[in-house]
Amino acid sequence: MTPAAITRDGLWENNPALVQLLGLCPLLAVSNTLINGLVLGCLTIFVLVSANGTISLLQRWLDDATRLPAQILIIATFVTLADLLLQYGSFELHQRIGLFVALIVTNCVILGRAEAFARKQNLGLALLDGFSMGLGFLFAILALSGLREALGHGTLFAHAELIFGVNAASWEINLPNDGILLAILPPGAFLLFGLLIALKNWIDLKIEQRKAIRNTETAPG
Amino acid sequence: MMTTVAKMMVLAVVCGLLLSTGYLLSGDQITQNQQALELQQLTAVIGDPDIVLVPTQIATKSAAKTPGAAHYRLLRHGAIFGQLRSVSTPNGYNGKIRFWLATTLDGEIIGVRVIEHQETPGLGDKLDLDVSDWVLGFNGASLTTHTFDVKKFDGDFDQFSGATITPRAVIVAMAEELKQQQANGSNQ
Repeated sequence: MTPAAITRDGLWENNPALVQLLGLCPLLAVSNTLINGLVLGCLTIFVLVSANGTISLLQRWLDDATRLPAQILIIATFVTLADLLLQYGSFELHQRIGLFVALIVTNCVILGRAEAFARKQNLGLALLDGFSMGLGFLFAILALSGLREALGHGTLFAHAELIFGVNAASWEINLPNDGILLAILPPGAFLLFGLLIALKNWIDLKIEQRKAIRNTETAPG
Repeated sequence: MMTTVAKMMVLAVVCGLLLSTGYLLSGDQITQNQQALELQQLTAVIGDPDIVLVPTQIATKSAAKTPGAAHYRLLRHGAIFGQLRSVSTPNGYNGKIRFWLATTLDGEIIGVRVIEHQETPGLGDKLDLDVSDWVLGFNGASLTTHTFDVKKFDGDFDQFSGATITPRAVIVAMAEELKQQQANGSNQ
Protein backbone atom coordinates (compact mmCIF):
# COMPACT_ATOMS: atom_id res chain seq x y z
CA MET A 1 0.00 0.00 0.00
CA THR A 2 1.22 3.49 -0.73
CA PRO A 3 1.45 6.04 2.08
CA ALA A 4 -1.28 8.10 0.42
CA ALA A 5 -3.61 5.11 0.31
CA ILE A 6 -2.93 4.35 3.97
CA THR A 7 -3.78 7.89 4.99
CA ARG A 8 -6.95 7.96 2.90
CA ASP A 9 -7.95 4.59 4.31
CA GLY A 10 -7.57 5.67 7.92
CA LEU A 11 -9.20 9.04 7.58
CA TRP A 12 -12.10 8.24 5.33
CA GLU A 13 -12.52 5.09 3.28
CA ASN A 14 -11.89 2.64 6.06
CA ASN A 15 -12.44 5.00 8.99
CA PRO A 16 -12.18 2.90 12.16
CA ALA A 17 -15.28 4.37 13.77
CA LEU A 18 -17.55 5.33 10.86
CA VAL A 19 -16.86 2.38 8.56
CA GLN A 20 -15.33 -0.41 10.62
CA LEU A 21 -17.54 0.51 13.61
CA LEU A 22 -14.75 -0.39 16.02
CA GLY A 23 -14.04 1.16 19.39
CA LEU A 24 -17.65 2.16 19.91
CA CYS A 25 -17.58 1.66 23.67
CA PRO A 26 -15.23 4.55 24.42
CA LEU A 27 -16.50 6.48 21.39
CA LEU A 28 -20.11 6.55 22.54
CA ALA A 29 -19.40 6.85 26.26
CA VAL A 30 -16.91 9.69 26.21
CA SER A 31 -18.35 11.76 23.38
CA ASN A 32 -20.52 13.89 25.68
CA THR A 33 -18.31 16.97 25.51
CA LEU A 34 -15.82 18.13 22.92
CA ILE A 35 -12.92 18.27 25.39
CA ASN A 36 -13.52 14.73 26.65
CA GLY A 37 -13.66 13.51 23.07
CA LEU A 38 -10.51 15.38 22.12
CA VAL A 39 -8.52 13.88 24.98
CA LEU A 40 -9.73 10.35 24.38
CA GLY A 41 -9.03 10.70 20.66
CA CYS A 42 -5.48 11.91 21.29
CA LEU A 43 -4.76 9.13 23.77
CA THR A 44 -6.06 6.63 21.24
CA ILE A 45 -3.67 8.02 18.62
CA PHE A 46 -0.80 7.70 21.10
CA VAL A 47 -1.64 4.07 21.84
CA LEU A 48 -2.24 3.17 18.18
CA VAL A 49 1.01 4.68 16.97
CA SER A 50 3.15 3.23 19.76
CA ALA A 51 1.56 -0.21 19.59
CA ASN A 52 1.77 -0.35 15.78
CA GLY A 53 5.40 0.74 15.86
CA THR A 54 6.45 -1.76 18.51
CA ILE A 55 4.65 -4.63 16.88
CA SER A 56 6.15 -3.81 13.50
CA LEU A 57 9.63 -3.82 15.03
CA LEU A 58 9.03 -7.16 16.74
CA GLN A 59 7.43 -8.91 13.74
CA ARG A 60 10.40 -11.21 13.07
CA TRP A 61 10.75 -12.09 16.71
CA LEU A 62 7.14 -13.08 17.35
CA ASP A 63 5.84 -16.42 16.15
CA ASP A 64 2.30 -17.66 15.65
CA ALA A 65 1.96 -18.92 19.21
CA THR A 66 3.10 -15.73 20.92
CA ARG A 67 1.73 -13.21 18.49
CA LEU A 68 -1.71 -12.48 19.97
CA PRO A 69 -0.81 -12.52 23.66
CA ALA A 70 2.26 -10.44 22.90
CA GLN A 71 0.17 -7.88 21.00
CA ILE A 72 -2.31 -7.61 23.85
CA LEU A 73 0.52 -7.23 26.34
CA ILE A 74 2.12 -4.45 24.32
CA ILE A 75 -1.19 -2.65 23.82
CA ALA A 76 -2.05 -2.93 27.52
CA THR A 77 1.34 -1.50 28.41
CA PHE A 78 0.84 1.55 26.24
CA VAL A 79 -2.71 2.05 27.47
CA THR A 80 -1.46 2.05 31.06
CA LEU A 81 1.22 4.56 30.09
CA ALA A 82 -1.44 6.73 28.46
CA ASP A 83 -3.49 6.48 31.64
CA LEU A 84 -0.51 7.60 33.74
CA LEU A 85 0.10 10.41 31.28
CA LEU A 86 -3.44 11.71 31.70
CA GLN A 87 -3.22 11.51 35.50
CA TYR A 88 0.06 13.37 35.28
CA GLY A 89 -1.26 16.06 32.98
CA SER A 90 -4.80 16.61 34.18
CA PHE A 91 -5.98 14.68 37.16
CA GLU A 92 -9.41 16.25 37.14
CA LEU A 93 -9.99 15.16 33.57
CA HIS A 94 -8.85 11.69 34.54
CA GLN A 95 -11.59 11.68 37.18
CA ARG A 96 -14.13 12.32 34.43
CA ILE A 97 -13.05 9.94 31.69
CA GLY A 98 -10.49 7.72 33.45
CA LEU A 99 -12.62 4.61 33.26
CA PHE A 100 -12.74 4.83 29.49
CA VAL A 101 -9.04 5.42 29.12
CA ALA A 102 -8.43 1.97 30.55
CA LEU A 103 -11.01 0.66 28.10
CA ILE A 104 -8.91 1.82 25.15
CA VAL A 105 -7.23 -1.54 25.56
CA THR A 106 -10.43 -3.23 24.43
CA ASN A 107 -10.73 -0.89 21.47
CA CYS A 108 -10.66 -3.38 18.62
CA VAL A 109 -9.17 -0.79 16.30
CA ILE A 110 -5.85 -1.18 18.03
CA LEU A 111 -5.59 -4.96 18.04
CA GLY A 112 -7.15 -4.94 14.60
CA ARG A 113 -4.45 -2.67 13.15
CA ALA A 114 -1.69 -4.59 14.92
CA GLU A 115 -2.93 -7.92 13.61
CA ALA A 116 -4.07 -6.88 10.15
CA PHE A 117 -1.41 -4.37 9.30
CA ALA A 118 1.50 -3.55 11.59
CA ARG A 119 2.86 -7.06 11.99
CA LYS A 120 3.39 -7.43 8.25
CA GLN A 121 4.68 -3.95 7.39
CA ASN A 122 7.83 -1.93 7.88
CA LEU A 123 8.12 0.57 10.70
CA GLY A 124 7.36 3.68 8.68
CA LEU A 125 4.15 2.37 7.16
CA ALA A 126 3.03 0.88 10.49
CA LEU A 127 3.48 4.22 12.24
CA LEU A 128 1.69 6.05 9.44
CA ASP A 129 -1.17 3.56 9.57
CA GLY A 130 -1.48 3.95 13.34
CA PHE A 131 -1.49 7.70 12.99
CA SER A 132 -4.07 7.87 10.21
CA MET A 133 -6.37 5.35 11.85
CA GLY A 134 -6.03 7.26 15.12
CA LEU A 135 -6.72 10.53 13.36
CA GLY A 136 -9.77 8.98 11.71
CA PHE A 137 -11.00 7.92 15.14
CA LEU A 138 -10.27 11.40 16.52
CA PHE A 139 -12.26 13.04 13.72
CA ALA A 140 -15.21 10.77 14.33
CA ILE A 141 -15.22 11.32 18.08
CA LEU A 142 -14.78 15.08 17.63
CA ALA A 143 -17.71 15.23 15.23
CA LEU A 144 -19.91 13.19 17.55
CA SER A 145 -18.89 14.93 20.76
CA GLY A 146 -19.19 18.39 19.22
CA LEU A 147 -22.67 17.52 18.04
CA ARG A 148 -23.68 16.06 21.40
CA GLU A 149 -22.27 18.92 23.43
CA ALA A 150 -23.89 21.54 21.19
CA LEU A 151 -27.28 19.80 21.23
CA GLY A 152 -27.19 18.41 24.75
CA HIS A 153 -25.53 21.10 26.80
CA GLY A 154 -25.88 24.07 24.47
CA THR A 155 -22.16 24.78 24.81
CA LEU A 156 -18.91 24.09 22.99
CA PHE A 157 -15.42 23.76 24.49
CA ALA A 158 -16.76 23.67 28.04
CA HIS A 159 -14.09 22.81 30.64
CA ALA A 160 -11.25 23.50 28.20
CA GLU A 161 -9.24 24.75 31.18
CA LEU A 162 -8.80 21.14 32.29
CA ILE A 163 -6.24 20.59 29.55
CA PHE A 164 -5.30 24.00 28.19
CA GLY A 165 -4.76 25.85 31.48
CA VAL A 166 -6.72 28.53 33.32
CA ASN A 167 -6.95 30.93 30.38
CA ALA A 168 -8.90 28.41 28.35
CA ALA A 169 -11.87 28.73 30.72
CA SER A 170 -13.05 31.59 28.51
CA TRP A 171 -13.12 29.40 25.39
CA GLU A 172 -16.51 28.08 26.32
CA ILE A 173 -19.07 29.10 23.73
CA ASN A 174 -22.66 29.31 24.87
CA LEU A 175 -25.07 28.51 22.10
CA PRO A 176 -28.54 30.05 22.03
CA ASN A 177 -30.27 26.67 22.35
CA ASP A 178 -31.16 24.93 25.59
CA GLY A 179 -29.80 21.46 26.08
CA ILE A 180 -31.79 18.56 24.66
CA LEU A 181 -31.42 15.85 27.27
CA LEU A 182 -31.57 12.98 24.77
CA ALA A 183 -28.34 14.05 23.12
CA ILE A 184 -26.35 13.49 26.31
CA LEU A 185 -27.95 10.18 27.23
CA PRO A 186 -26.58 6.94 25.77
CA PRO A 187 -29.49 6.43 23.32
CA GLY A 188 -28.77 9.89 21.94
CA ALA A 189 -25.19 8.86 21.34
CA PHE A 190 -26.35 5.89 19.28
CA LEU A 191 -28.88 7.95 17.33
CA LEU A 192 -26.45 10.73 16.49
CA PHE A 193 -23.72 8.27 15.64
CA GLY A 194 -26.13 6.56 13.27
CA LEU A 195 -26.85 9.90 11.64
CA LEU A 196 -23.13 10.57 11.26
CA ILE A 197 -22.63 7.23 9.53
CA ALA A 198 -25.58 8.02 7.28
CA LEU A 199 -24.05 11.39 6.46
CA LYS A 200 -20.76 9.77 5.54
CA ASN A 201 -22.50 7.25 3.32
CA TRP A 202 -24.51 10.01 1.67
CA ILE A 203 -21.33 11.96 0.90
CA ASP A 204 -19.77 8.79 -0.53
CA LEU A 205 -22.84 8.25 -2.68
CA LYS A 206 -22.70 11.82 -4.01
CA ILE A 207 -19.03 11.38 -4.86
CA GLU A 208 -19.80 8.13 -6.66
CA GLN A 209 -22.62 9.73 -8.64
CA ARG A 210 -20.43 12.64 -9.67
CA LYS A 211 -17.75 10.22 -10.81
CA ALA A 212 -20.29 8.20 -12.76
CA ILE A 213 -21.59 11.32 -14.48
CA ARG A 214 -18.08 12.41 -15.36
CA ASN A 215 -17.32 8.96 -16.77
CA THR A 216 -20.36 8.97 -19.01
CA GLU A 217 -19.55 12.48 -20.18
CA THR A 218 -16.02 11.56 -21.16
CA ALA A 219 -16.94 8.20 -22.60
CA PRO A 220 -16.91 8.20 -26.38
CA GLY A 221 -20.18 7.97 -28.25
CA MET B 1 15.94 -19.93 18.82
CA MET B 2 14.14 -18.98 21.98
CA THR B 3 11.22 -20.99 23.17
CA THR B 4 7.77 -19.49 23.15
CA VAL B 5 7.64 -19.31 26.94
CA ALA B 6 10.98 -17.54 27.17
CA LYS B 7 9.87 -15.00 24.58
CA MET B 8 6.70 -14.16 26.43
CA MET B 9 8.63 -13.86 29.67
CA VAL B 10 11.15 -11.49 28.16
CA LEU B 11 8.36 -9.40 26.71
CA ALA B 12 6.49 -9.33 30.02
CA VAL B 13 9.61 -8.23 31.87
CA VAL B 14 10.31 -5.48 29.33
CA CYS B 15 6.71 -4.23 29.52
CA GLY B 16 6.86 -4.36 33.31
CA LEU B 17 10.05 -2.33 33.34
CA LEU B 18 8.51 0.20 30.99
CA LEU B 19 5.49 0.63 33.24
CA SER B 20 7.59 0.85 36.40
CA THR B 21 9.66 3.58 34.82
CA GLY B 22 6.54 5.43 33.78
CA TYR B 23 5.13 5.13 37.25
CA LEU B 24 8.37 6.19 38.94
CA LEU B 25 8.53 9.26 36.75
CA SER B 26 4.92 10.29 37.24
CA GLY B 27 3.84 8.80 40.58
CA ASP B 28 4.79 11.69 42.83
CA GLN B 29 3.21 14.25 40.58
CA ILE B 30 0.04 12.16 40.33
CA THR B 31 -0.28 11.89 44.12
CA GLN B 32 0.27 15.63 44.33
CA ASN B 33 -2.37 16.26 41.66
CA GLN B 34 -4.82 14.04 43.49
CA GLN B 35 -4.30 15.76 46.82
CA ALA B 36 -4.40 19.20 45.25
CA LEU B 37 -7.69 18.40 43.53
CA GLU B 38 -9.21 16.97 46.69
CA LEU B 39 -8.10 19.94 48.78
CA GLN B 40 -9.41 22.32 46.14
CA GLN B 41 -12.79 20.60 46.19
CA LEU B 42 -12.92 20.57 49.98
CA THR B 43 -11.92 24.20 50.28
CA ALA B 44 -14.74 25.00 47.87
CA VAL B 45 -17.20 23.17 50.14
CA ILE B 46 -16.24 25.36 53.09
CA GLY B 47 -15.83 28.55 51.11
CA ASP B 48 -13.74 30.30 53.75
CA PRO B 49 -10.00 30.76 53.10
CA ASP B 50 -9.31 31.27 56.83
CA ILE B 51 -10.26 27.72 57.66
CA VAL B 52 -7.52 25.11 57.66
CA LEU B 53 -8.28 21.46 57.03
CA VAL B 54 -6.52 18.95 59.26
CA PRO B 55 -6.97 15.28 58.40
CA THR B 56 -7.82 13.30 61.52
CA GLN B 57 -6.64 9.82 62.38
CA ILE B 58 -9.90 8.27 61.24
CA ALA B 59 -9.20 9.80 57.88
CA THR B 60 -5.78 8.33 57.40
CA LYS B 61 -6.82 4.89 58.61
CA SER B 62 -10.00 4.51 56.62
CA ALA B 63 -8.69 6.42 53.63
CA ALA B 64 -6.16 3.67 53.14
CA LYS B 65 -8.96 1.15 52.74
CA THR B 66 -11.64 3.14 50.97
CA PRO B 67 -10.30 6.21 49.25
CA GLY B 68 -12.40 9.27 49.96
CA ALA B 69 -14.00 8.01 53.17
CA ALA B 70 -12.32 10.71 55.15
CA HIS B 71 -12.74 13.02 58.05
CA TYR B 72 -11.19 16.42 58.59
CA ARG B 73 -11.16 18.77 61.52
CA LEU B 74 -11.63 22.40 60.60
CA LEU B 75 -9.39 24.92 62.33
CA ARG B 76 -9.92 28.64 62.25
CA HIS B 77 -7.06 30.71 63.66
CA GLY B 78 -5.86 27.63 65.50
CA ALA B 79 -9.14 26.79 67.25
CA ILE B 80 -11.40 23.92 66.29
CA PHE B 81 -14.24 25.32 64.30
CA GLY B 82 -16.05 22.30 62.99
CA GLN B 83 -15.63 19.16 60.97
CA LEU B 84 -15.82 17.91 57.43
CA ARG B 85 -16.59 14.33 56.61
CA SER B 86 -17.75 12.21 53.75
CA VAL B 87 -21.19 10.71 54.14
CA SER B 88 -22.62 8.07 51.86
CA THR B 89 -26.07 6.64 51.43
CA PRO B 90 -27.20 3.60 49.43
CA ASN B 91 -30.72 5.02 48.97
CA GLY B 92 -30.25 7.01 45.78
CA TYR B 93 -32.51 6.22 42.84
CA ASN B 94 -29.57 4.51 41.16
CA GLY B 95 -27.64 3.40 44.21
CA LYS B 96 -24.92 5.01 46.19
CA ILE B 97 -24.61 8.76 46.67
CA ARG B 98 -21.59 10.16 48.46
CA PHE B 99 -21.19 13.74 49.64
CA TRP B 100 -19.01 15.95 51.77
CA LEU B 101 -20.69 17.52 54.76
CA ALA B 102 -19.03 20.36 56.63
CA THR B 103 -20.55 21.41 59.94
CA THR B 104 -19.69 23.77 62.76
CA LEU B 105 -19.33 22.57 66.33
CA ASP B 106 -22.94 23.58 66.94
CA GLY B 107 -24.15 21.35 64.14
CA GLU B 108 -24.80 24.10 61.66
CA ILE B 109 -24.09 23.15 58.04
CA ILE B 110 -21.23 25.07 56.47
CA GLY B 111 -21.34 23.38 53.11
CA VAL B 112 -22.45 20.28 51.24
CA ARG B 113 -21.02 18.87 48.03
CA VAL B 114 -22.14 15.71 46.28
CA ILE B 115 -19.05 13.97 44.92
CA GLU B 116 -20.31 10.64 43.68
CA HIS B 117 -23.67 9.59 42.29
CA GLN B 118 -25.28 7.76 39.38
CA GLU B 119 -28.57 9.62 39.36
CA THR B 120 -30.46 10.08 36.11
CA PRO B 121 -29.13 13.01 34.06
CA GLY B 122 -31.77 15.68 33.75
CA LEU B 123 -33.82 14.46 36.71
CA GLY B 124 -31.76 13.42 39.68
CA ASP B 125 -28.47 15.00 38.77
CA LYS B 126 -29.49 18.40 40.17
CA LEU B 127 -27.39 17.21 43.10
CA ASP B 128 -24.40 18.29 41.09
CA LEU B 129 -23.31 21.85 41.63
CA ASP B 130 -22.46 21.91 37.91
CA VAL B 131 -26.11 21.27 37.14
CA SER B 132 -27.99 23.25 39.79
CA ASP B 133 -27.24 25.04 43.03
CA TRP B 134 -29.53 22.83 45.08
CA VAL B 135 -26.74 21.81 47.47
CA LEU B 136 -26.12 25.44 48.38
CA GLY B 137 -29.59 25.55 49.93
CA PHE B 138 -28.28 23.68 52.94
CA ASN B 139 -25.74 26.30 53.93
CA GLY B 140 -26.54 27.58 57.40
CA ALA B 141 -29.20 24.97 58.14
CA SER B 142 -29.19 22.91 61.31
CA LEU B 143 -31.44 20.37 63.03
CA THR B 144 -32.83 23.03 65.35
CA THR B 145 -33.77 25.51 62.65
CA HIS B 146 -34.85 23.27 59.77
CA THR B 147 -36.96 20.19 59.17
CA PHE B 148 -34.84 17.77 57.19
CA ASP B 149 -37.14 16.56 54.47
CA VAL B 150 -38.37 17.72 51.06
CA LYS B 151 -41.20 20.23 50.88
CA LYS B 152 -43.59 17.58 49.62
CA PHE B 153 -43.20 15.85 52.99
CA ASP B 154 -43.43 19.07 55.01
CA GLY B 155 -39.69 19.61 55.10
CA ASP B 156 -37.75 22.76 54.38
CA PHE B 157 -35.80 21.72 51.30
CA ASP B 158 -36.63 21.65 47.61
CA GLN B 159 -37.34 18.42 45.81
CA PHE B 160 -36.58 18.11 42.11
CA SER B 161 -39.50 18.05 39.72
CA GLY B 162 -39.97 14.42 38.83
CA ALA B 163 -37.47 13.08 41.33
CA THR B 164 -38.14 12.94 45.06
CA ILE B 165 -36.13 9.84 45.91
CA THR B 166 -32.78 11.37 45.09
CA PRO B 167 -32.99 14.56 47.20
CA ARG B 168 -34.67 12.66 50.02
CA ALA B 169 -31.84 10.13 50.15
CA VAL B 170 -29.34 12.93 50.60
CA ILE B 171 -31.43 14.87 53.10
CA VAL B 172 -32.19 11.83 55.25
CA ALA B 173 -28.54 10.75 55.30
CA MET B 174 -27.57 14.29 56.21
CA ALA B 175 -30.05 14.41 59.09
CA GLU B 176 -28.82 11.04 60.35
CA GLU B 177 -25.26 12.27 60.34
CA LEU B 178 -26.21 15.50 62.14
CA LYS B 179 -28.13 13.56 64.79
CA GLN B 180 -25.19 11.25 65.31
CA GLN B 181 -22.82 14.16 65.69
CA GLN B 182 -25.17 15.71 68.21
CA ALA B 183 -25.30 12.45 70.16
CA ASN B 184 -21.53 12.04 70.12
CA GLY B 185 -21.03 15.55 71.41
CA SER B 186 -19.57 17.85 68.88
CA ASN B 187 -15.93 17.26 69.77
CA GLN B 188 -15.34 14.62 67.12
